[in-house]
Amino acid sequence: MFEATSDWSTFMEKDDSVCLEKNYRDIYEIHANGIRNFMYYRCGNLQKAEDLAHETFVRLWENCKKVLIGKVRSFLFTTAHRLFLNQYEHEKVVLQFEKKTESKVEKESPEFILEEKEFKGQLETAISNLPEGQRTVFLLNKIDKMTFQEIADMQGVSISAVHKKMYKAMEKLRRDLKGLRDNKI
Amino acid sequence: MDKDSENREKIVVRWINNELSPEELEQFQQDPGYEEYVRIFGEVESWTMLPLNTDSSFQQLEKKRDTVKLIPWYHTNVFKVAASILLVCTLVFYATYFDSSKTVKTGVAESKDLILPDSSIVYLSSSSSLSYNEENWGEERKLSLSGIAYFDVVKGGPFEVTFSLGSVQVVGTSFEIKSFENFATVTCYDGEVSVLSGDGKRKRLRRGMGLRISGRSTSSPFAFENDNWQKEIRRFHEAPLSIVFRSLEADFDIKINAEAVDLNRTFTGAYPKSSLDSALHVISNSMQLTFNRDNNKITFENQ
Repeated sequence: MFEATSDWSTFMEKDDSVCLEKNYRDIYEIHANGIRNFMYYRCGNLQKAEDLAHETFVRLWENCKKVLIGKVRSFLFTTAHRLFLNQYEHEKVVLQFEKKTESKVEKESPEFILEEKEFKGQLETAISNLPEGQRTVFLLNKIDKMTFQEIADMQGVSISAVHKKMYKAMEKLRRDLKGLRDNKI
Repeated sequence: MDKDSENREKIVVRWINNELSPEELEQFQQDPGYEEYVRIFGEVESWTMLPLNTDSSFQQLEKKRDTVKLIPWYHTNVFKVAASILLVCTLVFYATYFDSSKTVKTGVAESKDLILPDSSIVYLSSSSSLSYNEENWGEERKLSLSGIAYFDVVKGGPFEVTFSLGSVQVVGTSFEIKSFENFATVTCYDGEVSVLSGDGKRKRLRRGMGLRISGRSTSSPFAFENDNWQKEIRRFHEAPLSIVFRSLEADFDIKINAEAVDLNRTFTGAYPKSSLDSALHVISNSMQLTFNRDNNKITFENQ
């Protein structure tokens, strides 16, 4: 997924070398958020997620001579994926999300607002209860807008495996949300 | 997974990717799950992740990064390999030269008198090497020799000299060993020595006796004229010419070419170490050879 170049030019710091502080900083600006989110969906803890993102970027710095700038994104996600697999047991997670501020709440009735709030909590619970693989695919696609192909490349699996996870996630969410509603009544 | 659910998965995925045709979409809208999917997606799409504060986060990263920064030079593979090689070399060096074992070597035409820790004396002849352990000398008197040496041993515990073809054990005496790869002689000048040859045979030599070991065979002890060999005269008893020539080369720093001569013929006699000319004449006369001398290059031929 990322290539190591072996010619002598790797020993020269070209303008687009990851080893240049400025480029490294730019890469952080662009990708840190995505990596942190990715880790959050998997481990459910923002602080852990940021630590894992830092660790991922430390690996990038250590390998800055080997990673071409065009392959940085792939390197980061693959590295983060492996770091997570190495470090974390599959624990129960509780995910929470922010509401985007551009909502059109004014016109809605208080009942509707309450219902919406309730639904957010139910969906958060249902998503948190998804198996880790399904949850990550679902959130990367819906929140981070990654295509299924990008997710497949990053995890080193086939696109049909990603499709399957997405579909299973949606079916499970539908069932669990129904269950949550029925229990409440 | 059954066929229906496989088809449904395809439709759902294509719907998510906005790839359905208007007709397909219309059909999918009849799906019992459709409403719920729309609601789920509508909700999730209104969500966002708390954005990472990249400035402060990057500062934290820098701290972590700079504590590990680059792989330290002493963790690189090149260093590890180099260190391993150095370690092996050092161990070999110590095993060879130190570890309290001492080695004395003589060059061509050079001889040395050594006094061992128990004040036994060794006259080490040219092109020879002798090693022994200084530290535990009091416990065991063991040496190993290649080349020629004369020993004058003071009384004490066992004194053992190992050479390529055997070993000599004495109590207190003086004796000489000539040791080459395939030929060795041991001559006893005083006291008594016991010779153990490579074939496991042990023979005792009294004062004035010597023996030869040639390959795997050991000669019976023979008598020789006792004289102070190491200073003036090099004495041989039925020694192959190859050995005699090697001694000549070592004693006089010369090169001998004897391709035309049968080197297995044996020589009994002595040559003076003070005169190359006399030595060459003695050997060539008794072995029916002629020689040509060109500075330090000597060529022997049959008469």
